[in-house]
Amino acid sequence: MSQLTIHYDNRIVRDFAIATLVWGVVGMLVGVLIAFQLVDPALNLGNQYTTFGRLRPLHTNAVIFAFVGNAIFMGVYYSLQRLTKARMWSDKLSKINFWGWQLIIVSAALTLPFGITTSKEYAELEWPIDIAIALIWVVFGLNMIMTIVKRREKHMYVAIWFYLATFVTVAVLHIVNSFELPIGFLKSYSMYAGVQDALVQWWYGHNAVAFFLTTPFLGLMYYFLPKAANRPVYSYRLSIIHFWSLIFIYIWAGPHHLLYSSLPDWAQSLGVVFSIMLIAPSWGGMINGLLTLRGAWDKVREDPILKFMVVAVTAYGMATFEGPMHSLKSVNALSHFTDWIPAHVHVGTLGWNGFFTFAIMYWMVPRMFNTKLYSQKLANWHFWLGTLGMLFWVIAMYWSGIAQGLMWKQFTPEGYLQYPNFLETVTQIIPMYAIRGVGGLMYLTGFCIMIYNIVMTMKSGKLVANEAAVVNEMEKSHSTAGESWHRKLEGRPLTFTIWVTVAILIGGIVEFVPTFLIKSNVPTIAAVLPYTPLELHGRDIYIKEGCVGCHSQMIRPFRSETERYGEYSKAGEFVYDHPFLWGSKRTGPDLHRIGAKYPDAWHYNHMVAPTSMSPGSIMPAYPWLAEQNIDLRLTPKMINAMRSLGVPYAAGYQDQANADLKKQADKIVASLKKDGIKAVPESEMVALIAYLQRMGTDIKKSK
Amino acid sequence: MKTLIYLALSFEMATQQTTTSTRFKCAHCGDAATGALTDRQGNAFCCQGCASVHGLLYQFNLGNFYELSDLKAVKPREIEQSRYDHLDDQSVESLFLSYQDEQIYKVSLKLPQIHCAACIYLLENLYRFDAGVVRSEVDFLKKEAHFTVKKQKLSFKALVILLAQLGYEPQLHHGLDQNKTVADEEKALIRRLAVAGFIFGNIMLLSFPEYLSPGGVQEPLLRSVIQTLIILLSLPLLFYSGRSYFEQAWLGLRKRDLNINIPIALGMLALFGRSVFEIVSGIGHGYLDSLAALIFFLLIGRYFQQKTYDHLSFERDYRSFFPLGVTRSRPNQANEEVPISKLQAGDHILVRNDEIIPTDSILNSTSTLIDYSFVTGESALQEKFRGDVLYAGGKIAGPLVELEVIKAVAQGYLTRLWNQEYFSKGQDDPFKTITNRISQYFTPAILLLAVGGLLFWLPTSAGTAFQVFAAVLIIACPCALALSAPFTYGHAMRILGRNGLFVKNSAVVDKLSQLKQIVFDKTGTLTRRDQAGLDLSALNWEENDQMLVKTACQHSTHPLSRQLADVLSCSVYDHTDLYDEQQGKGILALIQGHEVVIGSATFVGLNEIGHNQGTRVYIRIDNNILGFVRFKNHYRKGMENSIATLSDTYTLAVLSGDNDQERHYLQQVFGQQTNIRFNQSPAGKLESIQNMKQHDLGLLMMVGDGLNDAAALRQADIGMAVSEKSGQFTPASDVIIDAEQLSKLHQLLRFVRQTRIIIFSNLSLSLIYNITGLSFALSGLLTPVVSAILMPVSSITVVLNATLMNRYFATKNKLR
Amino acid sequence: MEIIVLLICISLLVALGFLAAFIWSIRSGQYDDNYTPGIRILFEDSTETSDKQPKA
Repeated sequence: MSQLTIHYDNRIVRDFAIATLVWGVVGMLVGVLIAFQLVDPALNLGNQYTTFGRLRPLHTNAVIFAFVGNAIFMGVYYSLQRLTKARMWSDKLSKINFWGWQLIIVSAALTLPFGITTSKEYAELEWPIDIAIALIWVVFGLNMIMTIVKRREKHMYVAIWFYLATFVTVAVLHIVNSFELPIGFLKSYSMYAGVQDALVQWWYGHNAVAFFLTTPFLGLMYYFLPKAANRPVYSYRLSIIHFWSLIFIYIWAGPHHLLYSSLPDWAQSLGVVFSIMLIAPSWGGMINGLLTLRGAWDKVREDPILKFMVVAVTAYGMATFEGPMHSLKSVNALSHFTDWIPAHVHVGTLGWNGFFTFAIMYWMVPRMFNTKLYSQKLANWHFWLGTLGMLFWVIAMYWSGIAQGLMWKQFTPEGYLQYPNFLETVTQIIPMYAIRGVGGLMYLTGFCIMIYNIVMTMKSGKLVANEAAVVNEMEKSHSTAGESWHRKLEGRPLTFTIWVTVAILIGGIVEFVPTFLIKSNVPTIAAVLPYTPLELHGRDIYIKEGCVGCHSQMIRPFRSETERYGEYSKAGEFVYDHPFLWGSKRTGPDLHRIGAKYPDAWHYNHMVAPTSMSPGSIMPAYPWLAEQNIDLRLTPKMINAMRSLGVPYAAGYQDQANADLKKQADKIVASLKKDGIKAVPESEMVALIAYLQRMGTDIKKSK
Repeated sequence: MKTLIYLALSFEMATQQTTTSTRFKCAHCGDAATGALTDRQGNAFCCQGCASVHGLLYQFNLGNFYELSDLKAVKPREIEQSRYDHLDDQSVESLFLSYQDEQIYKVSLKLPQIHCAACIYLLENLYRFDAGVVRSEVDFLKKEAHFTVKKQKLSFKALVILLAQLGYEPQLHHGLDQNKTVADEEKALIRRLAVAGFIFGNIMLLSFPEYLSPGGVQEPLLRSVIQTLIILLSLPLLFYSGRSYFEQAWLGLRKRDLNINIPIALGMLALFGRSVFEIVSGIGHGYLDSLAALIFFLLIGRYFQQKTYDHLSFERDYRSFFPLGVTRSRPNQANEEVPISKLQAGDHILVRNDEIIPTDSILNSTSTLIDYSFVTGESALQEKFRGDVLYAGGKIAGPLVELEVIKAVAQGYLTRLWNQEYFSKGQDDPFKTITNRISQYFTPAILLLAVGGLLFWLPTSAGTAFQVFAAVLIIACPCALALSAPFTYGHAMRILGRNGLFVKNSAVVDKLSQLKQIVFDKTGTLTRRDQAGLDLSALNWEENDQMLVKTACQHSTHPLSRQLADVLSCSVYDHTDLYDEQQGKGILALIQGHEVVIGSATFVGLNEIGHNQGTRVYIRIDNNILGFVRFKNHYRKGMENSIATLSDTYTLAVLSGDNDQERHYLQQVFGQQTNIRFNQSPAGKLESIQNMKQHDLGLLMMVGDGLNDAAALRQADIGMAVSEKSGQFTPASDVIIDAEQLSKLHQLLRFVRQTRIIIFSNLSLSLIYNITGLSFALSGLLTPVVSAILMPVSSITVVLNATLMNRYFATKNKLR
Repeated sequence: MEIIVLLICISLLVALGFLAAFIWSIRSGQYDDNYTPGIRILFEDSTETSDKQPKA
């Protein structure tokens, strides 16, 4: 009998759905909080665990990996079973995937506020969590691939390809980017330094966006959009082309994040070209999505689900058009480091990821609970609140971004900067920050309405934990003539994919080991020396407090920047930076040439009460820096780690490091004393000041 | 694309239907239903068939069918199961099955009725109807379904019947898999293309530093890695993607003809060799990116060409229009279905109305009418009597007849006609495609130049000399030239295909563009085969006479009398006093005291008039002759004007199987001097063609249809077959034209002529490129940048030019 | 910038993997019919939904 009844696992989908909702609230709540902190820093509630610097990574991680991540699993687990006409290969793996992922998120929430971070954007989590992520991700991949192998539908629907691509690439990216040298549980240094670290980071950063926020959702789009509209995708052929072209182009677009940085020109232009090329497939996908609804616009008018989808797909189109635009050097010169970038990102996340996730839930939950949606009206409310909120958010940020970008570049007829004081450019856009906060609040409110709606829907129905489905058995492939080797391949097509991944990783490691062992041949500058022990500690504080979230360390070769900050940054200056701290956003001024610009006392006072030094500043106060002490026991480990990463500390230096540290600390304490400030030599403050005063000064010495 | 839109529409309907489905619409097929036939749920049905399928669907939980269907489900037809008996025969089965072993068999069937999502749903859930079906998969666009079935549970015949009962009666003819080979070739090509594209992209990528900062990457490690990668990448490019070019070049050399592939292959090798040399010796960066571009674009050209094959599948096997099986009657035994291949001389077979006589045989029934238009092209039915020999290919018109086979199928008349040696044309076809003709001169020229350059520079410096040698081959490598023809003709074929003119291959397009003479067959080509109408203009009579004639005709079985009876709208007398039909002469009847005589001139008592006999039927009532009825052919609409235009450019001629009664009319249309021959037997047509070719007035095309023209079609330089319904039998030919489109022939041919303009413009384009390039090369100034840019650009411009100009000319000739 | 070597190699390997997958999918006839699958996914195979007989 070729006909058999199987059962789809809906419980796991339900679980992921709930997780999505829970983490969504958390992530967005944090987002709204830090948004308002930029309006009034006092909102950091006066304690170090809720300062902007520490919460920003929490926000990004929560929304990307917790909210979107769970949403991806939810959608994949639902659609994959139906596309392959098979239950997930192993319920055990499904469970491990679920609880493992939640565990990772919790551990993230428990580490980031304590300043435990690698400071690499979207990869802030420390090495033990990185390993956990890799493991759980592989569990997910294995479960998915085995399900595909055991599928009862010969053809692999395009969505499946998108899922596979997501798995393979994210795995590779994550692993390559996470090569770091632990110096203790929860503390490590990136194996790459400066420019190279930056390149890897943004190769990862870009592709993380590409393959975590885009490809999985495209897969979901190709499944849920036709389902919701009950009409086939406009052109299936196009969707196939969409997938393959996207895959072959995306991987190279990374370097455009480093335009005007100290990256070689050709590498930058490479990024630009490929980013531009990306428009084609991306828009192919968007058009395919929208045209699927042709002739159904009447449906769209009343059905909130389709409304969400339309906006989501449109947002995808906008974001994928804007991205390449940003990669144009001329545009980038203006937009980079400004609020324009967050605006761009949030079109993608709020619009594309957020709205599509909502649409999927509204469509899927009633089906799994064999009932109707509790309230269409509320869903419509959610739609409008969300859309408005998103508009407030985005438009405000476009405005402030462009405005500030222009102010930075503004010169007076006499050839002086129009706004020599960075703070002026900030205070002008604070109203925009307020509006952004409100927008976020609206979006969050809408989301809460949805949670209520979904919960009531779940209550009204009963979960069909195992949905029965009649399918017919997949016949074994009766091979007609053909070479044996690729027959084998056909036999188990996807184990093949795994082998490729493995090959990549091995290849990666093999390539990688020599590369970081040989001395970096970035044009070295004789004057640039390794950091002193105290400065290393200071650097760790800088990382811990997430200063990089608001302050860049990359002065680009524009007059407007050299006027404001000084000599532009050279690749050679970062050779000892593990990790690099170029930053990607200037809420505050660039700090690369801050060294020796102000007296130690200025820094001390500024840290304790920023407004005392620069009235109107929105930087939070860091009084605890003066009270907390650095851990001197770590110093030798740090030195050793750095040495093994190629930083030329003399052999055995680790033993006298703390002595040197003391000397330097005392000097700073003394200079502070002159200004009537009493500081503890071991305090974090002293270390941080040491680092700040050193930053970007070596090159001056050489002159 | 069309189907896409159609499907979209059907979905629209689905939404409407749900709102406005009336009680008196058949719940299955949507036709009007009386409401007399309803089921328990009160669904109305138009017929029992619909009702039962509807029932089945719900019995097997396939209710979704109606949510998906546009309520235009296929109406199941009553089918006579015995029709399929011959499918039980192993030999017949094996004709269809694509795979079989002890347990299962696989088969792909053409199901023309597939038309909406619901069809797919129903057919793919077939396994719910019958446990024998392992799985079924629909290919919507091809209107095919692939089945995997358990042998013991469901025989092939049973499967076909099951489908037929559901309303999806399979179109049973061979060669569904015939285009499989084409598909496989295409797949292979796509693979080559994919690899080439991939490598092209990556080499460009890795060459990026080179483009931006002359000298490229400085870091030694990175540099060496990049260069190694580039070389590694270019190996599969050359030896996997580019392989076919070397093979063909080699073939060319072996056959001593300098085809275009030789310089291409040489160029590729030169590019590769030179580049590797440069890279390894560190002189420069090489031209491997150009090489990748070249191969990539060449393959794209190929692909375009291949695509056009999708539009036509030439059916070269005459059995495909022959009945597969036939009923054999055995003395005091039940009749049985046997495959025609099993027929022996002496067998008695039963042939039904509209079935084709499979082989030469003797009529055992008293009389029958036979349509020989297949063989002779003559549309009028022939009447045959007991003992007459019936030749294969005729169609029975009338009640079932019994025949005695006198020849086994293989020696049938058709087979003989088919197997004439002159059917196998094209073996040593002297005709050369334009590209090859040019390359005859091009190739040696390039080689000379290259060597010349080498010798010229040798004295000065060996380095430059070899660089020049390579450069000449590289830059002059005629990628543009090679691309131009495939692209131009490829597009042309696509456009022609869209307009119902299917060309076998690009060589034929090339021939068409140089066409000089066109020879038309008359019946079925200039005229529509289906309706031969009659002309009453030569009669003067009143109502009463008509009634008499009609009454008389009613009694006759003769097709002409039947037709006559049909056209007369008047009523009839219900009583005939006397009726006598003299076979081959006419009928005589006594009605209402009037003597009604209908028949040939002599029969009605006139003495013979010299010209145009045959299809004139005279009518005499009592003593006055009312006149005659003429049966005249219907010419296709728009033919006149089309022919008029054609005659400006081409020498035309007509060969007709009919008698010459139409001469006058034809001469008008074709012009007086046009050569028009009548009463042409197939062989006769063949000879005439041969004669015309002897005069050697340039390429000659025969436009004809039906099997009888096959020989002539083959003999002509180009054979154009007119097909009334696609899917119906089409004789082997170079071109197939949809009968509806014949009136557009002049436009189509003009368009084809214009493709030459495109070709030449492209040639001049690539020539310009080559000359500029060569001047650089020969003067030894060829920088990597120049060649890297020049070559892809030239290819791209040629491709664009071909595409755009095709579009332009198509619209100019009002073609879709 | 030898780090680019690492990135190039990895990216290339990933790409090669996908190329292989692509070639496989062509070979194994995944894309022989690139129309019907788009419709096929619309069908519900779950028994909860398919057996409601509509009243006419």
